[in-house]
Amino acid sequence: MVSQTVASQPAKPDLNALIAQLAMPAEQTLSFTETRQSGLLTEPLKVSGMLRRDAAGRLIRETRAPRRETQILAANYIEIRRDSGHRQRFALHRAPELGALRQALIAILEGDAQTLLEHFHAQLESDADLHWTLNLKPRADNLSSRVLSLELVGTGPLLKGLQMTLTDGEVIQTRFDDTP
Amino acid sequence: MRGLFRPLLVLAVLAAIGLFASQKLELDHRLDAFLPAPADAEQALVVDQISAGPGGRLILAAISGQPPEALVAHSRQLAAAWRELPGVERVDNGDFELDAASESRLMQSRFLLTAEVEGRLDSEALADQLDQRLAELALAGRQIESLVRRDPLGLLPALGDRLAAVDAPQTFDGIWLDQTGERALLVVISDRPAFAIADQTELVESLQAQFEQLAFDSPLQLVLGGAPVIAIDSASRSRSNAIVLSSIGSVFLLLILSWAWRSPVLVIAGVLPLATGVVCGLLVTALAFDRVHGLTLAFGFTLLGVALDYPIHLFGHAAGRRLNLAARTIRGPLLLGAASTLIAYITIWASTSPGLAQLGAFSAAGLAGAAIATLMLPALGLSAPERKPGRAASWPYVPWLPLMLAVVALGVLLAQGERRWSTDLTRLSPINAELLAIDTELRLAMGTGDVRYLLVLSGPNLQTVLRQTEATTQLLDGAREQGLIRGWQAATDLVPSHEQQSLRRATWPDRESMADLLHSADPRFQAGAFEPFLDDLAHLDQLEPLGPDSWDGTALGMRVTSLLDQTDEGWRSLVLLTGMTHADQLGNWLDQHNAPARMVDLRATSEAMVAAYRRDAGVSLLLALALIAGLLLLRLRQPVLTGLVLLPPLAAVICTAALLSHFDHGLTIVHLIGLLLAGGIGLDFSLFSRTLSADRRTRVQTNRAVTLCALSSGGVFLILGQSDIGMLRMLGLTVALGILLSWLFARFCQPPCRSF
Repeated sequence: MVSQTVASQPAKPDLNALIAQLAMPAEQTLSFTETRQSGLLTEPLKVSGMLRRDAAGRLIRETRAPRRETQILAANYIEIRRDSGHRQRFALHRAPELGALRQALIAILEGDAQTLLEHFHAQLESDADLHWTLNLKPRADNLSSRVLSLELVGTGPLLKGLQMTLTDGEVIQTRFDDTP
Repeated sequence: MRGLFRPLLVLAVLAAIGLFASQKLELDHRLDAFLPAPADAEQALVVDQISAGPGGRLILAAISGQPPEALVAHSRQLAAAWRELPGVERVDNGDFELDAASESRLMQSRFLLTAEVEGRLDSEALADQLDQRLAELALAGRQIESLVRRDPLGLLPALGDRLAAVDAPQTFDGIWLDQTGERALLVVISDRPAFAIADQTELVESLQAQFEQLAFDSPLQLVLGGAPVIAIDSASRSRSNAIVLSSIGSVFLLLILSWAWRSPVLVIAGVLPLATGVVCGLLVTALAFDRVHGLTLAFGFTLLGVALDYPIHLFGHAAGRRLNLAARTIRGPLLLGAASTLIAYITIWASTSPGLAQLGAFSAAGLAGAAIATLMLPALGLSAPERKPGRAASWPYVPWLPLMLAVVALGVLLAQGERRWSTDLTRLSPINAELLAIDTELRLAMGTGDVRYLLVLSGPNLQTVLRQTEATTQLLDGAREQGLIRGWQAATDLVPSHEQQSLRRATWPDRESMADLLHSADPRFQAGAFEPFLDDLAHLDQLEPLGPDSWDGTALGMRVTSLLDQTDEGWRSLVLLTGMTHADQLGNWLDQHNAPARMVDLRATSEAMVAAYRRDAGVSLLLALALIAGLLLLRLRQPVLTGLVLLPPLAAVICTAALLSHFDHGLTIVHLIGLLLAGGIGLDFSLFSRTLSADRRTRVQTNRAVTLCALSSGGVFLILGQSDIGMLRMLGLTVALGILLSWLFARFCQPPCRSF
């Protein structure tokens, strides 16, 4: 079921309308910076790069830091390609956070609210300044056992950020910037 | 029925002894039993490779019929279920996490196994490695932290890459898939002895049963390969072939003999020499050999069908007379023929191939027993029915015809040159070609490769061999840069020489220096981040040196034993090469650099082995022929008569050889054995036709008996020729054709009757 909390004013936030605005054509890139904590590091770990969807419905992340590599997230696997030509494939269910990320971002970039709602419980809130917050909770057990929630924030038709909270308390912050 | 009692009693006693002897026999289904005994180290290697040596317990499996994701899940489920089965030592499906033993031992030994330690310790290399660890943390987060703590330099993944076969199957989520992604691949290692067929059969059946339970309701398919699967198939086919063909053969013989003798008592009595032969054969084989190859029995029983000829001659000459008079008539040619055939069988017995030696022993003992039993048959007080002598068919006396045909056939054989021989060693192994193709295909998919060239190092002690192997692999590094090969596998990847291990130990810095190096390479990591790694390094001097036993009980143990083993002369180490396009170029490169390794071409060695084997067999057969001729000359006392007796079987053998080498893709050792047997039977025909044909009555009896022999033995071998085991088919057709020609030629060489 869709639970849409209707803010008092000024307008009724419409998930379908928002998702339609956020849609991006295939191969158009979005730069991102992801921040996560690690007990081994003196400072939080920052991952930066570009992401895009391809025509085959795969989410492609090309990271610049901490290392140049291409991460291809497909429906069932993630493939990592390094400049050295080294390739590695894993099933996506081994990294549920990446699975959740892919499902959410692909549905949003394709402007497909229907698919998004199939995979997540969604809650949309917005205020008078067009700032909005979309809270997503995975429906599937294999994802929800690792991923507590994804919170996307934005202004109008722009996606600004994403915060993923894992069940072990780890929080991964991602900032999006459409100017690479 | 009068007279039935005594033959039945003797038969029952023989059956009891036979049963006893057959229970003493341990059946063996080794694939190499019919291969020649190796003459040198390279040949020993070939036989080891063919009989699969340590790989003899390896079962290859492929599952297909679903998309890759489902196959991966099924591969995991199946591997987990198979691991629980009794008789399974290990199941590998690419999922390295499951082989915790290997990983933990690699982790323990990583400091001793890592080559070029200095190169890994310069600040640039360290920074690069730590950068990679950061990328891993960025992707997998907390899940990977403990691994990063223990192995910041990525020594374990580097070792894993080094150990992975160059053409290893791709992994999907860590599970082996073939190139097309249509099949998941698994390897099962059985803990039962490689050729304990009953145990292996039980294991393969339980693997299949377990699979069917899991695959219920889904279109999943399982294909199995590997040495145990082939051995099981070969065992079950030789058994079912032997049962089916010997049943058909027996019914055929019963029909022929009942028709010829028209007396149930005689038919039963006629079986007695054969039964005695089988019992003697079993007893002698059981006494002379530890174990008997399944095929020896399949072959041997049929070869003894020849023993049915003896009572046929006896009863043929007994019509209307007392049996002991007939026995006296045929004793001369029968014993002479049996003695000659015995010479030939004993020649086979002396063969270096255990399977052939057993076959020779079984047949020689069986033949001797059958001949003696035939001459003792009159003691049973039997009488043969009177038969009208009938007319002697008048065949032309044309001894020049077989002679001419033999000369032409000899010319054909000479003109064929080397093409008359088949050097394909696999034709001598009772393997189903289709199963072999599946096996080869699975091996290719697994990246275990189709090994033709190997580098071999041998020496009196382990450390010398390991040092030589290291010297060789160093040269191979250069050969790889030249593009001569893509990669190799050597035992020293897992068992470096003690010298090399000490060198590596000495190169690692102490705990404090290492901590400083790590910190200055990448200050982003916390000071205590790599404590587990530094602790391991601090305990390096307490680490036992690695030896061949260090990998026992892990997935890697198998690899060490297949690449490094102890021989009678010391130690032998193999280096497997991948991606080699020009063997001669690599050979030259290794020669130029004085590599201590020898390059062995398994195919050329095996072909040379077959050729040598055939030469040996040829010499033995010529010797047997000379001995037989000498024996005949001694008995017959006339050189011309001896020549005329030898002509029909010799001409028949030469013509058969020419026909088969042309139509059956070259002659093999099995054809030679078949020719030998046909020659023995043909000699009997010739001896009887020639020496027992003086008066019309004897001549009619002799010719009838010889025709009946040709019909019964020829028929039995023709039935054997229908086998789908290549060796049995070759033997059956050779002997059947040889018998037909021997019979014809014996008739052509029978002089006209003097007393019509």
